[in-house]
Amino acid sequence: MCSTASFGGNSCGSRDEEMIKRKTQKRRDVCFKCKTGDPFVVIRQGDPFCGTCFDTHVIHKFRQGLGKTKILYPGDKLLVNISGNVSSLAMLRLLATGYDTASHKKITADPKIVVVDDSFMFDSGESPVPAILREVERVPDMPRQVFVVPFQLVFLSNFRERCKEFYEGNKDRKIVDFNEMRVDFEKLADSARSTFSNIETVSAREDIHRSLRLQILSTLAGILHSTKIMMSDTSTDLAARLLSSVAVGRGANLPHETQYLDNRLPGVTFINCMREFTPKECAYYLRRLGVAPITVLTHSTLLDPIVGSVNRLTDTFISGLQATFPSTISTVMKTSAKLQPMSNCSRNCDVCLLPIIQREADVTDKMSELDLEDKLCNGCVIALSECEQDVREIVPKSSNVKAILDEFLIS
Amino acid sequence: MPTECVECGKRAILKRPKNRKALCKDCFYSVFEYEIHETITKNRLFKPGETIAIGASGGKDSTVLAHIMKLLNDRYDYGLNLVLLSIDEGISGYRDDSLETVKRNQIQYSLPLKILSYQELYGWTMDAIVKEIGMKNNCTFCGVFRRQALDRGAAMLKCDKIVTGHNADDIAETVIMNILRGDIARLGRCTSISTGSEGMISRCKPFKYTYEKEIVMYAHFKKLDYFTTECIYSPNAYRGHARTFLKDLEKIRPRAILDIITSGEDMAIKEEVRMPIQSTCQNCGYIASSELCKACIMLDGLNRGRPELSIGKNNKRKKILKMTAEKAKEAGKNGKLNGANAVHDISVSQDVENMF
Ligand SMILES: [Zn+2]
Ligand SMILES: [Zn+2]
Ligand SMILES: [Zn+2]
Ligand SMILES: [Zn+2]
Repeated sequence: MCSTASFGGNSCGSRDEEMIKRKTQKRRDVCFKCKTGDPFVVIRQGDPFCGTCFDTHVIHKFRQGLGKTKILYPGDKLLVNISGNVSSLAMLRLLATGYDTASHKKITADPKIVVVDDSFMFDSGESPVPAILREVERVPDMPRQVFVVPFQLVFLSNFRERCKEFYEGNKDRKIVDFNEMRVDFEKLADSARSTFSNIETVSAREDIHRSLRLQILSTLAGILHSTKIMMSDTSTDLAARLLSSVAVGRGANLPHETQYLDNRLPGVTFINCMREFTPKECAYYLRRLGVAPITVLTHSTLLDPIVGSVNRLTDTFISGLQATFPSTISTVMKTSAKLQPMSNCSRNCDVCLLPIIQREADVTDKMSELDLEDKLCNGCVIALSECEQDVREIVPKSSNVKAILDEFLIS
Repeated sequence: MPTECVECGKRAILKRPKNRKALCKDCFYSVFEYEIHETITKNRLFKPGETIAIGASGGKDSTVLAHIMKLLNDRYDYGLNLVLLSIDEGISGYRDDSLETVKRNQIQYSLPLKILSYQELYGWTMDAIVKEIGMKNNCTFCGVFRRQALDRGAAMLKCDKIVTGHNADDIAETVIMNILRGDIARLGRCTSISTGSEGMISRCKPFKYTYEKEIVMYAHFKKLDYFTTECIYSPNAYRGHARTFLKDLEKIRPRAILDIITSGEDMAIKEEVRMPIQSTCQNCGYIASSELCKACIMLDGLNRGRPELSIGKNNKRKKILKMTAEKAKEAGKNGKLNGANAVHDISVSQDVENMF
C-alpha cells in the first residue's frame, strides 16, 4: 500500500517554496521599513530591518501580546522567571522598555524577578546566578526586586511554610536570596541529585524537573500574593513542546502547555509572553543592547541530539524541519491556537499541576503498575513509571499543589 | 542463560517492541491475537451477521489483518462474513505483483476476493496519472482515489463495514502530520477507531493499538505470504521526516507510539474553529466538503489536462469551475462536468453476483 496517501497526502512544501522564492527577489541592501537604514537583521520571509526599526518591531510585538490579552493590571505583582537563557534575557529587556519614561503606554505592574538555580544538578554546573544578577542590575528604568531560589528547596518538607517564613522576615530587601535560609543545602542537593539519578530515562528526568520548577514558581507566586508569572519560551520552544507533549501523552493539556496564557492552575496565570518570538529575534535584540548570553545547562545539553531524550529529539526535529520548510513553526503554533482544554477535568496533577482528565475505567491499556492515576495526569504517570520506587514516592509527596491551591482558591 | 518468557517461563525468542517484555513464540501469538480481539470487543467494532470488507493490498498489514480477522472470526464466533477487497491502482511492477499475493491469500484463507481498478472506476491508471502530473502530488491523487474506491467496492459487495490495516505507527504518524500541517479537522478524527459519516460505510482499524514491528514479527513467524516492496511512487519528503521522527522516538521510549495516540484522542478543538461542512458531491454523491468531492475535482482537472487546478488554492479553482459552468449554461447545456462520468458507467453487479 502506498502509505503516504492512505490518510490523504498533502503538499506542505508549496507554501514554503513560494516563501523562499519571494525571499530571493527582495532587496536586501536597505531596511524594508524605513527604506533608509542599513540592514541589521533579516527576519520574516527575508525582510531586512535596520537596528532602530528592528527594536520598534520587537517591542511592538511584545506589547501587542500583553495588550491583546489585557492580562496586566496596574500594581499587579508580576513574577518574571529568568533562567539566564537568551529568550529570558530578551524578555527582561523587553519588559523594561515598558517602564521607560519615554514609553507612551507604560507597564505599571510590579516586577518580581525570580531566578531558580538548578546548576548543582549538572556536572559542570557553574551557577549562572551571579551573571544573571549582574545582568538584572544593568537593566535600566525598571523597578525590581530579585528572588534567588535554590532548586533543591522543593524537596524540603514544609517547603512552602519555610519559604514563606523566610520571605516575611526579608520582604523589603532588594535581593531576597533563599540560600540564606537556615537549611542544610548541601544535604538537600545530595538528595535531589540522588532522586534524579533514580529516574531511569533522561526524558522522564527533564519532564519531572520542569514540573518541579513550575511548582517552585507557583509556590513563590502564592507567597508573594502574585497571580501572574512571565515565562520566556519562544515560538520554537513552544512548537517543540507541543510535539513533545503529544509524544509523552499530554495531549489533553496542549492549550496550557503552548498557548499565550497558561491557566493550568486556577488563580495563577503563566504568561508565555515570548510566544511570537523566534530565538533569532531574541539573540539579535540582545546583540543590539550589548547583552552577552549566559550558559545554562539542561539534562540533555551534552547528550546526543537524536537519542538524548524526547525533548532533545523534538527540538532537533522541529529545528531541522523549520530550516527546510520555513512555515513549520508558525503552522504548529496555529494548530495550538485552535485547541482548547478538555472539559472533563477534575483536579490538578500533584506533579506538573496540569488538570487531570477523567477517563472511563478501562478505555486504554494501562501500561504502568502505578496506583497514582487519580492524583497524577497521564504524562506524569508515564514519567514516573520510568523511575525507581523511591522517586515514585518522593516526587508526588513533596507536591505543593494543595498548598498552592489553598492559597488561591476561595472556598 | 537464555531469557525466559515472562508468561510461561519457556525460552523466550523475542522482546515485544511495545513494552520490551520477553516472550516465547506461542505466548507472542496469543497476546498479539488476544489484544486485537480485545480491541474489537471493547470498541464493539462488529455485530453478528455483518459483512465486512477487508481492504487487502498484499502488503504485510493487510495480509496479517486478513489472517487475524479470519482466525478471530472462527475462534470467537463473531458471525461475520468476510470479503477481501483489493484496489488495483494500475502501477505496473508494484501492484501487479502485490495483487498476485492477494490472489494467493484468497485461496489460503478461502475468502471471496473482489478486485476493483482505478481504470474501471475513474478511467485512469496511476501510471497514466503520473505521466500526466509527474511525481509531485501523485500520492495525493492516489490516496483520494483509493479511499473512494474502497467505499465503492464495499458498496457493490453490499458490505456493512470496511476494515483496514492501519496500525498504531500509521495513526501516530498521522497525528504528527496533522499537527505539522495544521489540519485541525483531520487531527480531530484521525485517532477514532471507527469512522463513518451518514450514508457512508463505516471503516474501522482493528490494528489501532498494534505496533508495526509486531505485525512484521507475527507475519514472519507465521510465515504469512505478503508482498514487501514499497510503492514505487515514493512518499513525499514531509511525511518521511515525520516517520523518521517517530522511529527515533520509539527508540527512546517504545510506548511513545501509544502515548501519541492517547494524546490525539485527548485533544479538544475550540468550538469557534470552523470545520469544513460535510455534504455530498453534486456529481457522484460521495461525501464532500465542497460542491464536488475531491476525486471528482481531481478527475476534472486530469480530464481537462489541468491537474494543477485540482490541488491547492480552492478559490482559484472555484472561479474556474464557475466560469466553465457559466459558459456551459450560455451554450444552453447544463453545467454538469463531463469528467467523472466514468464513475457512473461501471457495471460490476455481474461480478459481485458471481462472487457469492
Ligand atoms: Zn529602518
Ligand atoms: Zn502531571
Ligand atoms: Zn511463553
Ligand atoms: Zn464526486
